[in-house]
Amino acid sequence: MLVIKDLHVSAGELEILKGIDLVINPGEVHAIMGPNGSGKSTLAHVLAGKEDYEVTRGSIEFMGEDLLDMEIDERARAGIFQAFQYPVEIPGVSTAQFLKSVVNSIRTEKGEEELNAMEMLKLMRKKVKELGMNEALLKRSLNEGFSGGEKKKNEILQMAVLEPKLAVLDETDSGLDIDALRIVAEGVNTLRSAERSFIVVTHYQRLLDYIVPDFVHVLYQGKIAKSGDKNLALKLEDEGYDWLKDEISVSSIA
Amino acid sequence: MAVQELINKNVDQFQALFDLYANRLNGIKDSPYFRIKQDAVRHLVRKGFPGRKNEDWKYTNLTQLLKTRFQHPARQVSGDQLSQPLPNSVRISFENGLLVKEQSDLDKFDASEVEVMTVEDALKNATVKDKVLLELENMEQVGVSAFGLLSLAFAQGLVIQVKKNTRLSNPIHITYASSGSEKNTLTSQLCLVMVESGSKAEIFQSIIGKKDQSYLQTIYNRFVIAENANLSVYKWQEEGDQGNLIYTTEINQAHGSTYTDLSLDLGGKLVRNNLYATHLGQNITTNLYGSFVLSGQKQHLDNQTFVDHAQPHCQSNELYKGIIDHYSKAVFNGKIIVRPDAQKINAFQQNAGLLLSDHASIDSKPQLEIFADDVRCSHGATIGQLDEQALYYLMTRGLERKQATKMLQSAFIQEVFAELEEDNIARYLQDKLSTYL
Repeated sequence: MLVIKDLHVSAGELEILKGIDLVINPGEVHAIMGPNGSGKSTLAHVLAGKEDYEVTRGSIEFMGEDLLDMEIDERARAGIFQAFQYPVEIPGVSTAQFLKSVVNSIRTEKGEEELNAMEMLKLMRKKVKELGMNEALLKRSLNEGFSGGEKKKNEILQMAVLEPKLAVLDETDSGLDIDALRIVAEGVNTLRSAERSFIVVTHYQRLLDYIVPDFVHVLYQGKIAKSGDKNLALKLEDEGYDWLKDEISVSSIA
Repeated sequence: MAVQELINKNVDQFQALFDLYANRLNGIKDSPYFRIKQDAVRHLVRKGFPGRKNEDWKYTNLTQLLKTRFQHPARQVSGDQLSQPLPNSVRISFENGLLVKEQSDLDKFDASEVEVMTVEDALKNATVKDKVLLELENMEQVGVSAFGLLSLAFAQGLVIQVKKNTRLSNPIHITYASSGSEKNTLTSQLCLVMVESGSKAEIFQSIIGKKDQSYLQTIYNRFVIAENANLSVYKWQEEGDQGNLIYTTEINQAHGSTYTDLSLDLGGKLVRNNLYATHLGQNITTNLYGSFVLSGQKQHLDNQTFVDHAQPHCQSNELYKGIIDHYSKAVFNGKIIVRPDAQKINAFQQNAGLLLSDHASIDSKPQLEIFADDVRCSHGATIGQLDEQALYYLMTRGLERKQATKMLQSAFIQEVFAELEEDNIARYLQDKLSTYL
């Protein structure tokens, strides 16, 4: 589904990603962990197509297509969804109105008929209910005045409505209390399927208690320093990132 | 100085234009309206036009416009449909300044509820004659601006009188259209609306200009709102790309009355809106809401508002928001006076501009003069650009840049329409606007 080869990314003068290789197959959940500044969020933004970053080397293929050749909106319509760490507040656009526009733009792209207002409302209500959220949020302006938890839940709601092939969750757990964390994780788990893949970017192992990953990768200084299964995340939780730093500096000296 | 002299020399042309116009006015030369018109043009020639040293015209330069040699438009109707009728409305249509009976539903008005007639007919009508004459004389004497005098001198003029304790069930849709291929035409409109006590009325104005030809249109409204009456006036302005519009509204409100103004300005090369509201009693509400989209290469729109809080226990709300592209420019000048005895006043004023180009600009000048001490007044002005973060966010959800931009623009401007919840005409304007973004 997603094949990243030797990916180098810079922001201005600064090289942030220094050669990432990653293959994600349908149905897999990959966790990306790592200390602050290791490039986790950059990877998420590069997948979404943010223009502040420049890919200087390497390639990303998504469903057999060159992802780097696609515009931000094309990527979304092709099935990539990014749940943001800091979702933007957009006053004056209601969540319902916004969801209707995006669902219909994706349906139009697929050659499907647009949903009318009633069908759309029915779909949104169903998803809101499944996620254990409050329906009142549909009428409110997108993210405006939402608490941290509400914003993240709203990201998951959008994901549930858009049904992407690949969802990238960028530190979705940050700023969540334990109840909100559980709701968000349950939302993700109900969407897990044999066709849908996830990249879960997180700083803490906590989230991975709820969303159990198939693979864990540790990003350090712009490279994947170590890959493993969920036990790697537990080890990081217990021992921090220091052992990894030692291991890498030893190997780079060698 | 030289420019001002030129403009004021050029003002003589209006006397010559008036003489031409007067030749066509057979049959009304004995009427008091004719005398008022003569006075208006004399007054105008004596007074001249405001120059740049006039503080109220600081940001709108009339030099180019007033160098023009104007002519009257041809006195013929195109037969075209002049505007899209507002649903459920009763129509009154003017083309090149003249009432078009075929596109007016004059027979649909119920005379027990509302009288709608030309000024000339009003002066023959025993019940309204005296009031109309009094208002016209007031207009001429007070004569807020040179452009108001132009309207008084050259307009056929419309009078609407809403009878006491009447709630008009259908809005009145007035269309001012210009047509024809002549350039430098001068078209003038005058509209006197008197809403008697306890009544409620809605007026929707469509201002539709001709394309590619330069012209000047002056519209002068005088709204007299009696005790506990309620008047809402909506405006859809789509002048031609070379059109100039000077639009003036004087609002006189009596005790307990409410006036609401919602404008949408889209067209024109130079457009100036003047709204003057005067409070003559207590417990009065004035709402002035304006929206605009200047998507042309170089449009100029100047919104001037003046709320004169002369009495205590009144409120005014103002919100103006617009989108400005290319080399276009918007001006907002909002003046509020709270006079010494006008205690317990609430006056709010806000304006915001969204600039879509590096060359677009907005001048904003809130002007609060408060002489009472127990009042709540606030004002604010913001100018911004499209939020790139928000654009990115919307695009990551699959919206094309164009669609995302449109969504943000409409989100920006909808706040003006949101002030009028449950208002069908506001919704109608907002829907029509969305096709222009």
